[in-house]
Amino acid sequence: MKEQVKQKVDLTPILTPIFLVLGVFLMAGSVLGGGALDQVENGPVRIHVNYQENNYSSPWKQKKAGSRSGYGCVLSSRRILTTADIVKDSTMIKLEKPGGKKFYPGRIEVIDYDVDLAVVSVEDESFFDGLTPVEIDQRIRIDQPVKFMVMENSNKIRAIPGEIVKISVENYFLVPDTYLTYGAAVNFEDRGGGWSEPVFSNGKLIGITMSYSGKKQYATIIPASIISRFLAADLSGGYIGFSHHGFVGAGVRDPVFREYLHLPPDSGGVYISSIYPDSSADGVLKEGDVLLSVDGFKIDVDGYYKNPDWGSVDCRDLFSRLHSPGEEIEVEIFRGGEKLKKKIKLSRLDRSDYLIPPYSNGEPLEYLIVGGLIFQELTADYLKEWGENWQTKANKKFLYFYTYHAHRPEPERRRMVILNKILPDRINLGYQGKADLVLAEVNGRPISVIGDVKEALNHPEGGFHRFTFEEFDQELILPVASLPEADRRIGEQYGVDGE
Amino acid sequence: MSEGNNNLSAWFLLLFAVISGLVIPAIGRTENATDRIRSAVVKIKNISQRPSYDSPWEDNDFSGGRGTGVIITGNRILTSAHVVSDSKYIEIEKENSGTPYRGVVAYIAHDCDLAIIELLDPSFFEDTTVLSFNDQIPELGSLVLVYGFPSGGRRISVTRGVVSRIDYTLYSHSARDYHLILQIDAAINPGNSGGPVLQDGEIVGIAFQAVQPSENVGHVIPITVIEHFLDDIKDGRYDGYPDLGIVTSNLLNPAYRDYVNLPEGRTGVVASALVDDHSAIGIIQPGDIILSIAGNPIGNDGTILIDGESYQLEEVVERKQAGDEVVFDIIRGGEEISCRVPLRKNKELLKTWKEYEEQPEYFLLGGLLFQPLSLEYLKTWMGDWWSRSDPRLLYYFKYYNQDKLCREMPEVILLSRVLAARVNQYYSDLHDLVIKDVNGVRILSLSDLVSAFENHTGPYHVIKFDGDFPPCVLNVEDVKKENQRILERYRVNRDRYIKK
Repeated sequence: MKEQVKQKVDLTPILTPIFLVLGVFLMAGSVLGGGALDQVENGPVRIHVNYQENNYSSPWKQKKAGSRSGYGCVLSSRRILTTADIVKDSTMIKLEKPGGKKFYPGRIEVIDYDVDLAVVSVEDESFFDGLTPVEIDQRIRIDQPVKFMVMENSNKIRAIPGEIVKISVENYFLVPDTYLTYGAAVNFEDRGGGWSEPVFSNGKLIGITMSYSGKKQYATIIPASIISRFLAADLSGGYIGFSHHGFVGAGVRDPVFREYLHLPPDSGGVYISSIYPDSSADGVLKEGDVLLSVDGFKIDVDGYYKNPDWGSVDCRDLFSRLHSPGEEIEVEIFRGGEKLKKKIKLSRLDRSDYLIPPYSNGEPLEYLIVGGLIFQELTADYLKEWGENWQTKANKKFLYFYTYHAHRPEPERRRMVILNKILPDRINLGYQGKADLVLAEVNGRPISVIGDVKEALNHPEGGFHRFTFEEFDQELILPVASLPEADRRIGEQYGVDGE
Repeated sequence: MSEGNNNLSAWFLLLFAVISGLVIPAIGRTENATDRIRSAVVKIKNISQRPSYDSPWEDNDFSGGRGTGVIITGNRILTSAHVVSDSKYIEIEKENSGTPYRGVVAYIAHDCDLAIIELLDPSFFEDTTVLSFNDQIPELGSLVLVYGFPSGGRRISVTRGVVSRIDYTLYSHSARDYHLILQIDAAINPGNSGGPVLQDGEIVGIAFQAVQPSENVGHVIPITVIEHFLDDIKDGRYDGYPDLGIVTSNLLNPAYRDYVNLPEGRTGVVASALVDDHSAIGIIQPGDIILSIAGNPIGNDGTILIDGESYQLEEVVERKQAGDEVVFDIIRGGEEISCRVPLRKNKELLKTWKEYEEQPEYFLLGGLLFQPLSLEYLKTWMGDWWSRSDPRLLYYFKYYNQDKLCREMPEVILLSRVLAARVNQYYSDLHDLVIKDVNGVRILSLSDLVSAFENHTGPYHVIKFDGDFPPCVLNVEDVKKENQRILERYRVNRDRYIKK
């Protein structure tokens, strides 16, 4: 049995070349599990995932199924902690204990694509027999020796030594957003099968591996403090997620810029250059403000605060890691020559807050095929259909909006609804070949989300449907009367389902 | 799912690839290669130098190229524009003579890749002949002869070919326009460019480009395009092709025809959009059904018939000059009316084509280099510019008309890069940012930008960019103090070039 190679792709910065981490071929079952049960305590369990992703290019189809493996840790709540990238788009999850010999079906209980974490539950309680839950330790320091726990193909647990070399706010794996990470020097030369290795120090979990570069021998770790907040965010009323600062800012090192802003000589700060609509910052901060302190921490000229344990850390950490959505934090800002204190009510940056969602949420893709015209919402996954070099090959308009406006839905355009392509049929004669256009109106009604198309089709104009696109205001006309017959014909011809 | 962009790369410009030392034996005299024809075909050597769009105050290195030309009436040599573009020095040689004569470009038309060379010494023409034009487009399948000096060579080469297709194609030299071409099955090699293509001893075209992936496919500029050029320069100046600026939608779809109430038995296309600043705007309106152009009925696919051959409706305009008129029969609001569209050359502010003979515009202040977005600028991105350039620049470039960005930003002015200096030390890594405003003034052109800097009286220059970037703030006094030193340090002889 061969595992499919899983490619870990560094999503950010959005337009730098994709960086690949090792592909691993796992020969499971080729060697029988050997004892080593003395290390079971705290040890990882293996998670095998079968997955299938939506096909964004032909949205009525699914992509070829695949499989991947990773590690999980047993939580005291008798559930398994792992990364979201291991379990996303899963069709089946199987858990395997050290020692192997049996699979236990699992299912996703909580998943957060932002911080790349997930909790998996197991129906069969006997899975936990002999397994001890991990203890989470949020304390960390630079130079701290750590152990990456892996299971060899023989199902023997092995600890690979590493050392924490960096504690910083970096881009996360699935979403182009930043949270606290640990960086560790480690050589996975002998890496076992799977990903998301738990990382221990002094017998306690300090993080989970998010990505690894074999070339740099460097692993990025999701820290225990992010894990703890993730676990705490799963309330009885539902998962509340992580709060997001909601602005774009820059440091104020330049003395001329500081003079121009009339900033006091001793003050640092973050210059607010843009605010995401409906975000934490919206309505409180304004473009041109300088953020002087957050939650009692002074911000320096580079936008860092002084963490008592780790030194300088990007101030965005104060918004995401130390507080939950719904909480208020106090900020001090400099506006119009004055220092002001303001309260920011933190909120989550949800998938629904994106003009172009950067990740799929595992749900079926919404689309609509009418008269062979395929409509759907523009997403990062659609752009990725351009293949390996999608960041340079995809449609230039789409790339521009994804790169610079993905966070910026407008009330009248919450998503970009696009004409993917046209399935040729006699009803769309003369229109064929049109593709990758942004739908502005249907029957004169503005289109903001895919659902609006369906609604607008209830209001034909004199026996016709009129589709208006942004580019050159092009229009396509379909006759209402012959549509049902055409849609049936197209459905049969191309094996598609209209919605 | 692929994008139909960048067809530019599919074309191969012939001239500049002449490899010295590669000897191609000259073909002996053929039956048709009479002395009369041979003594009208000349070899052209050009030394050219292009400006640098990266450091627009400098020129790039010299380069040399060779091509062919043909003598036409009035002691003129007709050739391809790309043979003699960006020229610093031209030599003309007759076959076998070995004596170079100095030539100068009299007219050059980059959009249709044609040029006229004149000689300083008229004695050159003493033992030459003149070839005349055949004003008919040759028939498909008919034989033609290509004369030229492929790969340099002293003696003339003649290749026989068949006219295999008559079609519209992008003229890759400027990549600005589609014009008619003759496709022939004879290989056109570097050095053939600008050479005459003959039928029955008369010029039916000028060889000019090859299709790279296919073998033995050459493109020839047909007589209609040559005549348009010769007609255009009659007044002593090349003006270029007028553009209608009508974006049409075909009416092949029966429902669409019903929707626009196209009368039974009539055909035409819908004007779906009008491009700003082009000839038809304000005369033709979006939604008009265009039935005919200059009396030629338009098919539902947008084609017309000329001399029994089918052409795109733009062919009518292709054969007209700026200042001419074209009459359209249209249906507007159910009524059939006629519209006269005076044709003019539009001033396109975003240069989406390859430029020649042009000095790049720029302004340099405090080490900040400002340039307008253009194709030539994008090409300064190393390697495959279409993939590598910043997505904002590529979007503005490609969707300038489609998304009506031209209305917001007639010229897209960039902070292209920063020549590092003390005054800009916190901004020295900035590059390729689109300027929104300077000192509170909205920037719509490079001259707007210059006056926004120079008419400013406050203590700071404040440059704001399009997008989520913080502003760039410079101290006005420091800029004044350091500006000259920056120009000297980076050997910039002028701080600006702005076209009038």
